[in-house]
Amino acid sequence: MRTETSSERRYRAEVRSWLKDALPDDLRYLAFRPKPDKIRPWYEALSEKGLIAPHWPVAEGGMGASAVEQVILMEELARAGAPELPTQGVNHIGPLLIKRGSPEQKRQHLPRILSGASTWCQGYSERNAGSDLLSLSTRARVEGDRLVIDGHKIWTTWGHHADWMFALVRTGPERHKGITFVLIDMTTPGITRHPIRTIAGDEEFAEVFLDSVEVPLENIVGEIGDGWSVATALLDEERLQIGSPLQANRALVSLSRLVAAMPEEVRGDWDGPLELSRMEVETVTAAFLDSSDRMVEGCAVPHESCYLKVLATESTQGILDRAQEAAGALAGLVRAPEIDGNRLDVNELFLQSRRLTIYGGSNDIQRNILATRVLEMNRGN
Amino acid sequence: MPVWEPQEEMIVDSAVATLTRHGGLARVRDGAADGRQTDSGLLRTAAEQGWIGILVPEAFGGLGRELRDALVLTRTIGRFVAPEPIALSIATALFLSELKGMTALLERAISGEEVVLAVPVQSRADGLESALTPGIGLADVLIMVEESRAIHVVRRDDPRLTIDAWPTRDGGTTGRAILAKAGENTRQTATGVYPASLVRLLQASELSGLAAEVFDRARAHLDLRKQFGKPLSSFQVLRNRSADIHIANSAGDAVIFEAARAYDGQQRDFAVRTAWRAASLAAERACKEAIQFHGAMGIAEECDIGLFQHRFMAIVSAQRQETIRIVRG
Repeated sequence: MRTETSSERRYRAEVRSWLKDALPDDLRYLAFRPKPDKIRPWYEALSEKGLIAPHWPVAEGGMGASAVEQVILMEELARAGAPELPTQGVNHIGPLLIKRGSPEQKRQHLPRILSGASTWCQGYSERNAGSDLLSLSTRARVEGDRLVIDGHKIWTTWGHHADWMFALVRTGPERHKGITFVLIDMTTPGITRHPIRTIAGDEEFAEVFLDSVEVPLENIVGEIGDGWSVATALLDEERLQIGSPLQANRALVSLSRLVAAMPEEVRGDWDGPLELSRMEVETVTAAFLDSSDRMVEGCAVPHESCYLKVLATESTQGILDRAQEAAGALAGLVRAPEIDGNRLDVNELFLQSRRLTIYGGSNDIQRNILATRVLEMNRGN
Repeated sequence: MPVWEPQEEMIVDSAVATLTRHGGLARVRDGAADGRQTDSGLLRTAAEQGWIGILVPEAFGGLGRELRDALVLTRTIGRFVAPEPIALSIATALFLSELKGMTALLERAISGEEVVLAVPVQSRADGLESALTPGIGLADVLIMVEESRAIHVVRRDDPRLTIDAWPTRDGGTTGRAILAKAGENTRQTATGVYPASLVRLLQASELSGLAAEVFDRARAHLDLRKQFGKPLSSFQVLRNRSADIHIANSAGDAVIFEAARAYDGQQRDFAVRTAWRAASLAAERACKEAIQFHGAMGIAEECDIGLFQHRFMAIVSAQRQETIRIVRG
């Protein structure tokens, strides 16, 4: 909403113009993340344009973009209908390696994350270690210059497509100090992966089995037993990305396209819900910009960005609830209707949005963290 | 919550000291309890502190501060549930500074010599009539602004002016001004648009302060009060609901200050509507939950929590349409 500076206006115009020509039509307005072979050229195009890692420092190959520029890019990507990218590299392990990785780990992985040459997945969750992640039981033992890993990971986003996994494994019995952070080449013998089909119909997640998987010790980030500290070193920055207005903007674009396709005599009924949705997106944007400022100024309280994740994901779900209603009788179709030559997967978008409040630390857990760590409410212990 | 600049911290400290000196919540409680109407004392003090002229350029005798500073001020006022029309007075002063021929009146308004309030009015067959406006009964001078942008400066003792006022639940009043025979002897000194967006944004920030304060008080209660041998703050359901209040309050604060950044741009009205919505939803939630968290005490008149609900109702209802017309009496 804020008045943009002349350089921000120029940046927006440049991004919009570039997207108009560079984004292939068959990648526009897709409900699901396209498969690797289809998304890779687009990832590479963004990378060559320098738009793949706006929040990374310039010295590491990012844009060093301001929060406002990041928002402009999100808004323009959503507006153009750009597909969702694999983000575990640029949003999670990349920034983490920048902060905690060894020089060799940075040299090996950062350029490949930026170029799209390697795709990453996150090996945190297990069957009995989701919200209570510290209960993870995938074990690793040191044998010579190797770490030998046995166990399994589940709900691993793009685990069946990824080239590398960053994982938490148990190297000792201590709840926190018994955890080690390790980088695993997914072509290593002993790894089996099975995709998991979701209620939305896509295969976004996988179950990954690790059977005597040998990993060189130099693939450990930090020290053995230091994994929890490594994994949580950038929690607030990661939550900032999860709580960004990107998804809410995408949802608003979907709703707007649906309303625009309605017959004129009913379209006016949707002015109110559209305005409400726009307000919600702008509220998420304001919260994102505010949290970014606080982080840059160094006055953010640890864990305060949990609120962003809840706000952004639940606002997105609310807008997609409205899209479901706006679709009327079409909302239940398996095969999506086309609008202006582009599919609009109404119920897939709605079903897919259910996961937003579950992954990345469920919203229930976020509320608990807010109560305990930010509001410092008594736990009664 | 935005990062405060040092001068914004000073505004907060000064406002807290002034409002505390004026009796804080006890003043509001006493006024509401014995049916006493709010007088203009706090408004005059506010003027002496420079609050009324906070947005007025220094060349006109104001403080010439940014909109953001005024929002910090009204946010702090919201913590004290003061029923006086301070936000409207601030907006009126800025409005006057942008009009020709109003310098003398502006000086009196920002010095506290006179309470000057701008009100939107509509033409009736026999004159002009204002919308219901909180605090209108305190005005020494009314600036009546027609939709046509014609402005009428009317003094309180003008025999053509009638003000019907009614007490509001927050200890203040609201009322309607009727100017009979508006066409006769009325000097239309200027034209301008009633500053509805500014009033609304300042009051959104007031709501944001109100929500923060009532939530602080509710959290203190949850920590103190025990049931089943444990503090209420240890019960998961109350912790989650507290987190929801925190989320709404944080979002409200963020969007209010974002609206300030948008205020001089093309999206002003939308930005203000967005800020108002977020702030009013947050305050509504905070007030209702604070009452609920306090249990039976929450519905007792002697519990201060109710004062926040009262003030919330007064602020929000003043921004709504008059669906049922109130008549004199």
